Amino acid sequence: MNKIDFKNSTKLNGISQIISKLFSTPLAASSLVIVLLFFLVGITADYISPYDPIKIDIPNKLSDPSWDHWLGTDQLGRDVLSRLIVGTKIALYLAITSVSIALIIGIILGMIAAFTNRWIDSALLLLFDTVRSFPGIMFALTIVALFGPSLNSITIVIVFSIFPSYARLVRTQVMSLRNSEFIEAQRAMGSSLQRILRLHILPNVIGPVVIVASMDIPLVIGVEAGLSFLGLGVRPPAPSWGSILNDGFQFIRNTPWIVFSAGLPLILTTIAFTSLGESLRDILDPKLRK
Amino acid sequence: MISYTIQRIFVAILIILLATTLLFIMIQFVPGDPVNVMLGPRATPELKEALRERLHLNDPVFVQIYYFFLGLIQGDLGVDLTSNRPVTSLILEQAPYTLTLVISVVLVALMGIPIGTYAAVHRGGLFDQISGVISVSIIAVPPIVIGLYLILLFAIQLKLLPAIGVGEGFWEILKHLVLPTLAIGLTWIGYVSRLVRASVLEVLMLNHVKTARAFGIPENKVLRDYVLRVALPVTFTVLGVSIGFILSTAVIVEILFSRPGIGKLIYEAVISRNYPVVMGTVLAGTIFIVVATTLSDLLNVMLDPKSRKFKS
Repeated sequence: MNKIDFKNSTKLNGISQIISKLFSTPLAASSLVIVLLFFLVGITADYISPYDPIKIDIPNKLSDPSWDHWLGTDQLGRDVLSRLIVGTKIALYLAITSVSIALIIGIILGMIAAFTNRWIDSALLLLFDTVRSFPGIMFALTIVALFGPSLNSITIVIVFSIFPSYARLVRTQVMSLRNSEFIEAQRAMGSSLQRILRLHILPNVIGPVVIVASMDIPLVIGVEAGLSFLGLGVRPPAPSWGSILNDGFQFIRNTPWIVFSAGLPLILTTIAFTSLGESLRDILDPKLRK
Repeated sequence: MISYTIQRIFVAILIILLATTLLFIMIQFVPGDPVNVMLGPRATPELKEALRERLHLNDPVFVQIYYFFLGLIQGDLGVDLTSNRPVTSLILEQAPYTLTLVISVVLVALMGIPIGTYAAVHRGGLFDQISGVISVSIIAVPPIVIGLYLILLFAIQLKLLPAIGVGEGFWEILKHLVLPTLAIGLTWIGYVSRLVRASVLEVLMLNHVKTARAFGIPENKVLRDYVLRVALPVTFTVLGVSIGFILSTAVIVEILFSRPGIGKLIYEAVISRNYPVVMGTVLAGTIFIVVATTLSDLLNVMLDPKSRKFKS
């Protein structure tokens, strides 16, 4: 388990210091740029995509990359670049919603586990371990079988597969904080449990768990891509990265560039989020480094 | 050790019980009548009633769970709705294909050991830096994307390796295994190499290694007998715990490469909403993961008694 020594964690004077530290290594700097680009493209997708991503144009189907269509068109003549740009919006939406929901559940359950009696703590730990032992994709397929393929099903799958690790992390950290002097001082002054949790424990716990969460964004993108690739994720004609990969896979022999270009944003964002997360972790808390 | 083993097995059984219960509760949340979904809109009321009776759907949830456990103890995971065959035999039929893939991924992942050791010994060198960047990158990329690029490169552009099916005869089977294995395995080579690097670095700092060096024992022998002997068990236990992840990725890679196996079984069951097969397969997967995790945990404790007090 990750145990953090709070006294030794680097004190930071502000975001500017973190950013300047990030820009000191080329890998971290380029990761940061890609992540920012991902957010930017995701937010402005509807304005910057050159074509309507679901507009069918059969006469131009499966055309090669050209000045009109930089990444060519798919089997229905839809512009691949526009589909990828709008796909970014779906990936961003999923990443933010599912990770936030998992964070909220994880933080609440983790704090409950750390602050209640042993029985509830053990029961919650058992629940976390049980949920973690569900076999990822198989579990995802079950949810899809039960609730039908949709963005909501993917969100449920992701929330379920990641919240236990946040809850466990929060629990360990809260436990190490629980007996620290400043918390005991608060108790002695008669602060309520809620007040202590909200004002003193939460701010100390939230940083590390958010970093861990940001490193789960590649997982979110991967699950979406996998399910949509199988035709069990985002419903057509909505262009998610996974469904574009699936479209391209049908014609991989004759028009390989669709798969090739749809894979690139997936590769770039997953690598960028992972290495940015690692760099941030190293900067904010050197003790966490493995 | 014995009490810890009993405790661990008890927890494993509890997890399996809880997992089954959770899956059952989830089914209760399915919008609409599951029987309607299973039989389609044109089923007669008599047919629906018969199925409901057969699946104990008229009984309360806890009675249903009881029946399911009763079957589970006897190795009965229910009956396939379309072919009427027991789910257990369907799983046993497909399991060898998936297990072959999982085992070959584990074997390939072991390539991370020499890479990680070399990187740790030559810390900060060119090899360490390059392997570090490549490992971290490849760990992040979803296996399905790695698989697609492998197909693009080796099956379509270079026409070196087959991308579909399992093949017949030893060499053909081996050739058909290469791309799916790499699609999952590249990630694990990266992961294992990072893990081995970290634990070798840690062990290199320990006193017994320094003493061995001071005695003038050759560096290779120090590495083999003093460093790796301590560093490797950790790697094997992590790999044991990770078998579950490998299994679940194998499912999606099997579908990508059109291989028979658990992946295809569950995928087809999901498409046709064949609940008993989906439930049975997920449960079998969960049991497999819980058993693998428990075993590697116990193995870890056996090799390293120190970890016992932290775990409990």
